[in-house]
Amino acid sequence: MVLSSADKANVKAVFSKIGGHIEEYGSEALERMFFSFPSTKTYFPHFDMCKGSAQIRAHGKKVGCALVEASNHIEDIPGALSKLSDLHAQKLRVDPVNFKLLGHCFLVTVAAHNPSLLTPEVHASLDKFMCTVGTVLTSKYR
Amino acid sequence: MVHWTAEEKQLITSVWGKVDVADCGGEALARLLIVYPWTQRFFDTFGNLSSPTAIVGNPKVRAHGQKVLTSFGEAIKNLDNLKATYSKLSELHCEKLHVDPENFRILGDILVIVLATHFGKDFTPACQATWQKLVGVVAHALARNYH
Repeated sequence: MVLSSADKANVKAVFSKIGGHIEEYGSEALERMFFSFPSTKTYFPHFDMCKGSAQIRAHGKKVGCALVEASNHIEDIPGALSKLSDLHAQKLRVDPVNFKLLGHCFLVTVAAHNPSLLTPEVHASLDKFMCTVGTVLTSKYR
Repeated sequence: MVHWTAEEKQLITSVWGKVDVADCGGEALARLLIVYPWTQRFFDTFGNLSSPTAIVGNPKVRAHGQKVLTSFGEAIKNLDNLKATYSKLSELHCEKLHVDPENFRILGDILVIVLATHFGKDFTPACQATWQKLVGVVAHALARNYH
């Protein structure tokens, strides 16, 4: 799967629109994921799962900022996320299936807040971007 | 048998009551064909699917999307008996249409995104979770008679 120049432009446009809310969106995507896919909570047994918890907000900020970083270096996502790839491979070892779930919930979050932004073409580009990020983060697993 | 709480049933029917089946169905199917272009393999007879604009404007896509979502409406009327409701459709999708059940799952997720664009903040995490459960059980029921 390759991000075309149109995909890259679409993704950059999305993040320039939502960048100011990225912490909020990251947290909401996590919250949606925990609600819809309870098995994902198994990676956070130490978290307070109440809505708006400080831990979810902090983690949502981390996730959101990583996505912004990837979009800012969209020509070299493996390079931009190399340290995060190492972390996920060596320490976190989150099963690859979960990146799809979080990617989906991030799309739902963007859709709920910016319906007119998520045209079918932008939806496709953002979906490809989220898949790429997931692939990069699991690329050193074995 | 799948158990639905009163709250889940309420979240389903209150959303469904506001859904324009033709619009949402058409949009969901169009997005499926655009976001996951390999799904176009099932629609050789649909004419022009050469670009997102062509797909969105294609009347066969819209009509088929409406058909698919109308069938979803049947599921919502028969939440306590999805197995029987989808028995024949499951056989059809296996024996005649040869559709990989993975496609039901991805269409379900696309429908959730379409609902989010229509309902915005009203499509709360709790609402999404209920609809994820619904699209999951519909996909499962459609795959159930595969052999």
